[in-house]
Amino acid sequence: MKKIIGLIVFCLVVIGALQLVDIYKESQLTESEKELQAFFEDEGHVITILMPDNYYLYNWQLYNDVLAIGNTIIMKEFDYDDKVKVEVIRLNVNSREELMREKNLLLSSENGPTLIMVDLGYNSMDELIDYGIAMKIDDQLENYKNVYDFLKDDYYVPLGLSASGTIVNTDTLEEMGEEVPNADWTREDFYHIQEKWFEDHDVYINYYEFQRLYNYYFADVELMDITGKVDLNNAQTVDKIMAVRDEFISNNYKIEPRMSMNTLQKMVRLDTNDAWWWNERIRVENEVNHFVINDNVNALHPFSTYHPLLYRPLKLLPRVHEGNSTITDMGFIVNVNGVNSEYGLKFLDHIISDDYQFYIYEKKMLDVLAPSISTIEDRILNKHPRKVGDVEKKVAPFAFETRAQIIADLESGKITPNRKSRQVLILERNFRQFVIEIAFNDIFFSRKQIEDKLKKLEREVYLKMNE
Amino acid sequence: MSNGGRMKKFKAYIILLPSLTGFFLLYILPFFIGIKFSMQRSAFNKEFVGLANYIKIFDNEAFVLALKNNLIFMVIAIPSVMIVSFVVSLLMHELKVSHWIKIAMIIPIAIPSAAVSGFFKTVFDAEAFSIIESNFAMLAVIIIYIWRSAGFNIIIYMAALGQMNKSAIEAASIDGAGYMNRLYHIILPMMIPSTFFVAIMSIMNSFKVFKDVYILQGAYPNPQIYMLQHYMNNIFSKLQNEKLTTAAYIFTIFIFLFALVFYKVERNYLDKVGD
Repeated sequence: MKKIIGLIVFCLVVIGALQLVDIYKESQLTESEKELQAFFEDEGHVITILMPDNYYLYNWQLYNDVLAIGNTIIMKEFDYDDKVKVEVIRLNVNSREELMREKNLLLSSENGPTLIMVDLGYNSMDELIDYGIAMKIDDQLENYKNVYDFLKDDYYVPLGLSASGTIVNTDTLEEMGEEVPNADWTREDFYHIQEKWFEDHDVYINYYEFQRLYNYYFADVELMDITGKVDLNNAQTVDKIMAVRDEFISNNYKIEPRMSMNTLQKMVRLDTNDAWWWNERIRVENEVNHFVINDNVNALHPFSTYHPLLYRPLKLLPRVHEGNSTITDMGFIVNVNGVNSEYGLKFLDHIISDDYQFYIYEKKMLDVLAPSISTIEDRILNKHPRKVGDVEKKVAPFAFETRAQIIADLESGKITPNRKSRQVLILERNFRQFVIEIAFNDIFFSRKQIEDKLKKLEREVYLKMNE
Repeated sequence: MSNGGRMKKFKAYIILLPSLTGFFLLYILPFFIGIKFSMQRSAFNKEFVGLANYIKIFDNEAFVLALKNNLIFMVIAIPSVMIVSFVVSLLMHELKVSHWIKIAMIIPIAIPSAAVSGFFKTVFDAEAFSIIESNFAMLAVIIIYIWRSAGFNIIIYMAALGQMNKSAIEAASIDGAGYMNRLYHIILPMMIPSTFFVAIMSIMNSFKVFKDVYILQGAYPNPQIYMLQHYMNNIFSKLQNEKLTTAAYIFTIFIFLFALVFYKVERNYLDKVGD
């Protein structure tokens, strides 16, 4: 009896404490914030944003960044009568299939999300345009003229750009007796350093390590023949899949002792929140203890070499081991069925203004995106981020040079942003999953078994691509 | 009509009403509402596009493949199941088999799809040679379909054979007609109404084979046996209503044409031999 009374009292105390926190929070708001809150409640000037798939599956950081940008714009820019509240749509999903269902339901609603954020490195706009979801932007945005020409599109407002770059830890390289490479380094140089790195350090395999291994074997493999037919079941592909597996079991890669094969498979697939956290834990551990190479930085952002955990001499180099450079960009599409789309357009016009593009750049927001407009180049060159340290000062000139080179190549059309069709993305995603299933498996599949499975995959992918 | 007659008719309508209401709400109404969906740009944009989706869908490789497979299946499997059913029922009728054998014939209809697929997986998906993975996969599906549907057809044919006018057959025998002559000139013409019913039921049962194939091979099977039901099922989960409804109406037209052919054959035959 005493226990029950005790439990009831405990619950009451908790509820009371929570209410006090709410009251405290309420009282902490400034007068203008309270006024603003009341205004939104009365007027309902709200725009909603549907985030890219990876946010709903694992990358929650993006959510905070988008909200932060939205709130900054609300507080600073809009005239009072036009103030708009930015809300990011939350979806509780556990798998990609569930996410697709939820997204489709939202997009078919007559009061759907105002804006759809797209990550064009991993997604395609094809369906959004074909199904008539994307609104034509035309001349509705005053600042659109500032966007780089190579990013302009009738339906798309780019928020930022990313180009794959590599940073190397010069101190550790010297300790390993290796020469620090220069911008003209080659794919062979990269893999030579990686081999030495793995020999000298216990590097745990995670998503990024697998990605490098995968790219080493498959970056230059054509998954379709010249007629556009899916071509997976051939000797070259089977050899390479077996080679990936052999590399994995060769002891070059260490497996985090607490991981089962199943967890490992999920982690390299990186499509759930759990997988993301495992990957992050291992990434931090690798970077703190054994950091030599990180090939996941934005070469267009001269200060992406700044790392809170790594106050070490780093050098930014072009990413050489993947064949063509990978340029990806992220941005927004306006939903034709979206609520308050006129406010959505206003929000977008702010986002591509000089000030906000520089703000995103300076704060290293949205996975360290570089600006999508051409009008703030001088500001980028002249004003350094606030937290610039000695390390960055040392590497900055080289990083600026790399950025300038990539922008020049993009403007001349020598390299182009990643614009893959829906079909190619389906093919690549399914094939990658297949390699993971074969390589990270307790069962050792024979060549014949791999061929049979590839044959099935080939047929499945063909149907998926053409449905 | 007398008062009693009207009352009887009224009662009949009252009894039929719940069933008719359900049929109208769940079949007739959605059928016509669906036409609207098939003429919209997509589930996300309700713009009217006329017959554009009907033209566009023939550029869709998966749809064309599925439609082709369905037609191949129907053209081969439906006449096959009808012939097999008729031959088996004729044999059973002539041999006067026991009731137990007749009951055994209908068992396949009652067996759950999972069990059927489990059995046929062992038979057709053997490690040494997997017919379901080969270019002859359709043959396996047709065999499953015949195995599953023949029992029902046999019951229909057995009932029809049992109710045949025996005097015509006996008269023909006395006149010296052999068995094949009796079969061709008397038994077969008398079976025409039942055959039409069996044909319609066989078309309807042909849709059910999808369940077995789905359990055997999943949502993306060997393209040789990728059916319209696979296509529609897969695009339904992507909420592509315009493609789904367009495919469904095109399929309906083909089924209607198929049924019409059977109907015409039946009418021609009946006109020749007399009702």
